[in-house]
Amino acid sequence: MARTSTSSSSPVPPSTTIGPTLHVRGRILGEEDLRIEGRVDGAIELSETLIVEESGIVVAEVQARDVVVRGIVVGNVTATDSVTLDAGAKLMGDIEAPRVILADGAAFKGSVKVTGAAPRPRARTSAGAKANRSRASAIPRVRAARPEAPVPEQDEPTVVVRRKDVQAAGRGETKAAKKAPPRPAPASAGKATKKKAAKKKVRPKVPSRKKRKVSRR
Amino acid sequence: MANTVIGSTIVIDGEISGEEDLTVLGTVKGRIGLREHIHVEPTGVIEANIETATITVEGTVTGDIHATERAELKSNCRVVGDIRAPRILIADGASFKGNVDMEG
Repeated sequence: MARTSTSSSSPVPPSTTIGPTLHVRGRILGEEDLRIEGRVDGAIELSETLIVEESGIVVAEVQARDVVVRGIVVGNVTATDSVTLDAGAKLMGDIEAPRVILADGAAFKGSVKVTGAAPRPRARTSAGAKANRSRASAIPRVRAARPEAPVPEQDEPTVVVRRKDVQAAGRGETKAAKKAPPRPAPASAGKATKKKAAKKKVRPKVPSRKKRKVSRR
Repeated sequence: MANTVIGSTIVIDGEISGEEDLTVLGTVKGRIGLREHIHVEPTGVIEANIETATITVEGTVTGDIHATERAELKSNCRVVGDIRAPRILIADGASFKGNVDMEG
C-alpha cells in the first residue's frame, strides 16, 4: 500500500473503495476492509469489515467479520462479529451474527439470528451494578444516577426494530403513560374507567418488542 | 472525482462498469467497462477484457484492451492480449504479447 501512494500521482485512500458511479456484477473476495459507495450485485466475502455507505447499494449475499450498513442491502448478511445498521440503512434479508445493532431510523425486513454466545463486553451493565453496590453505602445522592436504570432494552441481545413512526407513536404512548400513570380510580369510579385504565397499562409494552416481525419471513 | 480502489487482497470475479477512475492493486477477472482512467498497479492482476478511455499498466493484464484515448504499458508490466487505441506507449522493459491496432 505504501508503494501505491508513491507510484500514483494522487494519494490513494488506504482501504478498498467501490466508488459511487461504479457497478460491480459478480463476486468480491478479500481480506481487507471494503467500502461500497456504488453498487454491487452478486456476492461479497470478506475477512474484515464491509461498509456500505449512504450511496451504496448491495444486492448480494454478504459474509464478513463486521458489516456496517448506511445504505441499502438486499440479501442475507452473515457476520462473524457484528452487523450494524445505522440510521438511514435499509436491509431486506436475514441477519446472522453474534452481535446485531440496529440504530434508530434503520429499516429492516427479515429475520435475525444471534449466533454463538460470544460474550460481549458489558461495560454499562457492570457500571450499573457497581453503582448499585455503592448505592447501599453511599449518601442518598443516588437519585442523580437513577436515570441510568432503565437500560433493559440494551441488555437484550435480540433486536428492536423501529420504524420511526411506530416508535414515535410508541414513545408518545409510553411517555404519556409514565407521566400520568393510570391511578387506580377511587372505588366510587365506574366500571368503564377501570377498563380503560387496564388497557392503557398493557399497551405501551407492545411496540418495543417486535419479535413477531422478526420471526416472520 | 471519487476514486475507486481495488485493494491488494481483493478478488473480483465478474463485471465492473462505471464512470470514474479505477485503481487496481488486487485481482479482477471478467470484464471492465469504464469511461475514465484505469491504473493497474504493480501488484494488480487483470484477467479481463477492458474498455476504457485511458489505461496505465504496471502490473499484469491478460485480455484485450480497448482504450478510446490512450494505452500505456510501463516497464515491468506484463500484457497478453490485443491492444486497440489511438495512442499506445510501450516502455522499455515492458513485456507484451499480442496485436496492436492504432486505427481506433
